[in-house]
Amino acid sequence: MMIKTMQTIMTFLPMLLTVAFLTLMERKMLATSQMRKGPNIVGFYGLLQPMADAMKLMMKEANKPNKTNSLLFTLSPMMSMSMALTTWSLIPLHNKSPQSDTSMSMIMMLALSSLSVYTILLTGWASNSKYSLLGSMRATAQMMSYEMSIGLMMLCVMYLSSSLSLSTITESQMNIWFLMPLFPAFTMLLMSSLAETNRTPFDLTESESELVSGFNVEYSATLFTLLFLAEYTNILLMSAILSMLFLGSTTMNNTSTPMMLATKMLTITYMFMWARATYPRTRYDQLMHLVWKSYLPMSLSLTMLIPSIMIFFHCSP
Amino acid sequence: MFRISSNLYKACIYRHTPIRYFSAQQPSRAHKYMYVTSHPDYIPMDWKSTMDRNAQTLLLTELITGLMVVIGSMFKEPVTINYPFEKGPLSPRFRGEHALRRYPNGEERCIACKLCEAICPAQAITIEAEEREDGSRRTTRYDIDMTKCIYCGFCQEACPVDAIVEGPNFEYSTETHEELLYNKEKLLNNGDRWEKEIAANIDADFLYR
Repeated sequence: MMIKTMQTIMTFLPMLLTVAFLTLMERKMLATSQMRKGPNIVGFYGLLQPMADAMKLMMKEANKPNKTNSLLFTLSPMMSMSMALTTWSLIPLHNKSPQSDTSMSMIMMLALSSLSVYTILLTGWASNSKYSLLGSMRATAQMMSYEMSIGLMMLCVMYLSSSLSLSTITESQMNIWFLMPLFPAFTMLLMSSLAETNRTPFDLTESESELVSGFNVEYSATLFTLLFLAEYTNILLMSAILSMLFLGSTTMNNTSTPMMLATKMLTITYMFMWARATYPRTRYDQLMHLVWKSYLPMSLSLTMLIPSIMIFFHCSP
Repeated sequence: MFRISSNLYKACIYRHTPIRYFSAQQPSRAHKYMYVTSHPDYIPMDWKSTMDRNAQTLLLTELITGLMVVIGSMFKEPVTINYPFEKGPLSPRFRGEHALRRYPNGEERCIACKLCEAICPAQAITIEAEEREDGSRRTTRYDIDMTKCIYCGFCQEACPVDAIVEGPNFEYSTETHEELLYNKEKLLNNGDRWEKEIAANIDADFLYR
């Protein structure tokens, strides 16, 4: 019991710290790319900025709009945060001690990430505001559409390793990363995960010019902090999934260290931010066109092509 | 009406001449609206250009070019300065806080000609004048409402004796409105405080005065 608790704390505490500093990293990165300096006052070179931000947010007055369902209003940010953290327990951070790695962890992960759509829908709906509702509806449609092609692209990886367990997928990438045989799937999944986490080229959820800030307009103080943290946890989660499925997770040159996963994960997170610094927002029809008319046919044909090749060359593991 | 007729298109393609979508001369068959860059209806469908287009799309050329531009700007020097600790350069013509100057012997320059009061477009200046004991004409009251002032600099241009000037100081925010209603004392104080900088600025600009 004690060990289990410690293990959980040791997983989630660094996780939350990473998320906190991720916000700082993003601000600094955006600043450098726009020839600014970014936060540099609090602490050394602004290193304590996330702490100051968190303090400020926690001390704000918790507001709730009139005539909202207060149970849903308070529950849904908590749900989104816990959903994001629960998915982290599935990830084999070290090949010897996965938190709760089952033979079906891929399915579990897909299920949990689909559930996070509901929390966004609930947040928007419970806010009793048209901006929140529009934002959450956009987010829901977008995430559901992209989840389909994401699932198909993950299926390709499952074919190659013929396993649904994340640690087995990691092991099967000892010799070659799945990035090589599945490069198109990787690029598509990278871009889909931008859409899945509502990040910049596809951040129609919080198109601030039309919807103020999307589904979380009515939130303030601690509840907003939870939503914000959940968003960034999901970004880290998607990059962890990407690096596990395509970049060989903890493995490198037949050795396996958790630091390797962290490095790969942060590289992909950096690409998320890089994309935010670079691209303007797409239109809604372009977003839907991309997933339904480009990614879905492509990933569907990949799911047929990969097993056919494997059967043709008798090389299924 | 909105599109270039297909006949013109074919003609241009057959003659291998580039279409000038944007030309100074209005063509005789005047089309009111034209696409400046490329015509959306015209997509060359030959094998080479189709391959090129698809390769550009699939290899994400344009997206990657954009990413590289961002990487390039990351290595540029930031333009931000740490304001209260670092300050940007100011032109000698910078029009900041007002000041009334004195001659080196301590006599105030202003002769109460009221040219500044007359020219002030915001009517921010109020002057009252009387004869002093020694017979010279001086102001008894010289008020500037800094909240009315639009910092156009007409007063310092109008002044025949360089008495009223707008100095280089721009950090004089106050907590009340009343503190920004400057009187003669405050303006003369400003002049004494900033005389060195103001004199240097006037010197630097002497060629153009």
